[in-house]
Amino acid sequence: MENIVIWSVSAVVAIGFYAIYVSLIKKKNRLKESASGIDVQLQKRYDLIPNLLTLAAQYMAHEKSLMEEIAQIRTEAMNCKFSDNPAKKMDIEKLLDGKMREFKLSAENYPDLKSNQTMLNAMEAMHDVEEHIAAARRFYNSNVTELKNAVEIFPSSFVAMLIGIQDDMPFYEAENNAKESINAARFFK
Amino acid sequence: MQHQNIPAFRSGFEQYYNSVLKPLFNEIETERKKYLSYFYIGLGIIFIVIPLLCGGVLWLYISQYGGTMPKSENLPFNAIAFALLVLLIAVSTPLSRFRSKSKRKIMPEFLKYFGDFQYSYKKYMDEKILNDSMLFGAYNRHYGDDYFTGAYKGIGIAVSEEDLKMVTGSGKRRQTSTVFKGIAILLSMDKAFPGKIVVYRDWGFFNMFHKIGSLCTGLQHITLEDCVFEKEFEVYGSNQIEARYILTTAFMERMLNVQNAFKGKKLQFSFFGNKLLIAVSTSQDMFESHSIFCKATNRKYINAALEQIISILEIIEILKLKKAPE
Repeated sequence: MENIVIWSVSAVVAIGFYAIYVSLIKKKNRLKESASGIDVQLQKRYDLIPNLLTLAAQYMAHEKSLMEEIAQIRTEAMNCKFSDNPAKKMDIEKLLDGKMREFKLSAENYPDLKSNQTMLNAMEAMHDVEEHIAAARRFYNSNVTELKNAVEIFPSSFVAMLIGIQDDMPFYEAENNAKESINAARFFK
Repeated sequence: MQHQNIPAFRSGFEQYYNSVLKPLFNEIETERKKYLSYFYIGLGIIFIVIPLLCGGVLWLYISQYGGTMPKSENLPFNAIAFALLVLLIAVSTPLSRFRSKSKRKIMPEFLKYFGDFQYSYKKYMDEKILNDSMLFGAYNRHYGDDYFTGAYKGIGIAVSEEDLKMVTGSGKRRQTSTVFKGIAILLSMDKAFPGKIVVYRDWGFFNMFHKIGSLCTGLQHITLEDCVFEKEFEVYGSNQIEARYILTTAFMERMLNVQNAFKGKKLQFSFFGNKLLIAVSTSQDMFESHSIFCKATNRKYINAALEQIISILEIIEILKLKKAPE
């Protein structure tokens, strides 16, 4: 009788342990997947930036230094992957976001540029890509929350410690002024 | 005539109503009085015939059988029931005729205000579209009504009243259950959204059926951060990022506007290919037609219909912003 009880309890513990283990691994992998999802979306933006700058260069000769800065930060950003080094990537992205915002505001002062159809299409595409980046960021952050909860709450925290899973991925927070909703219509007048 | 934005539709409606719809409503008002008189005549006949029938049966009951009628002689009661049924049908006919006649007269002209819209009284949505949406369970009877199609800002619109039923068994074992009854709104874009998103109403414990179903369809359960949204809906999609891209708080608010405008009890929707199908469960008529007891010139019904169309156009305005880049 004692043996049956011991075996039953052991079986329940083993099954429980395995279930938690599977759930943790799934969460970890989903987090990795969402981190690479951010890279994919950011790459779309990097692909659009040269077109935007080429178009703008014809009209915004006075903003040459700003455009050069954007091109430089873009190159730097392309060489760093979010899934490899999230903290560094976030810093570069914040910088790029700030410069892109500056660029859009400067473009407001050039009516010819604003009314150029190709430029309008490029801006629309950029706006769309930025929304996709925001969506990818939301997906990533929800996965970070899930893994953090699992790693910090008992009993999964105990299993995580045993198999060496850590919540070392940070939340991807948007820059404060990037959180303000952009009036897209302003750019498409 | 088609305005370029929703405020213009709202502000321009008064003029359209006065110039185009009001004369029609005046004609309908004359019709209404005619049908109402038919109704009252029918009602009068009922009030005369029923006492006569009842009196006749009572007389038969007392004089022929001395107060105890044998079971085999229940023919008079059947005759009364039959006569009542016929009379009730006769009385309700003017009501339903007036509804359909006024709808057929007003709807085509009302919809012209929003552009090149076509109205069909007895038509419904293609079953392939309903099935592809994955919003409805199995059904084997399909009825529909009030179908209209058109376009706004390059996005195709089709709206209809749908009634999907599942009939099982035969004879006395025949059972009919309603799978869906309400309004189906189909928006067709020129470009496809990547993947598929199906948004069901939250069923609490019974969500597990959707979860089991998703194992077969390959769709993933998508947990959104918005608590209010999560409480109301269950989302499944083929791509986590695309689902989050489309299902923003603003989009969901507009969806709930559609539900309220159609006085819906629950709302579900699905993105598939270049289509968005919105299913609003409601027992209400779409573009509720005028009641025979209410003056045809009363603006209540037409204003509600305007809000229903505008709630659809609001969804389109958001989808236009979400359109895939050229």
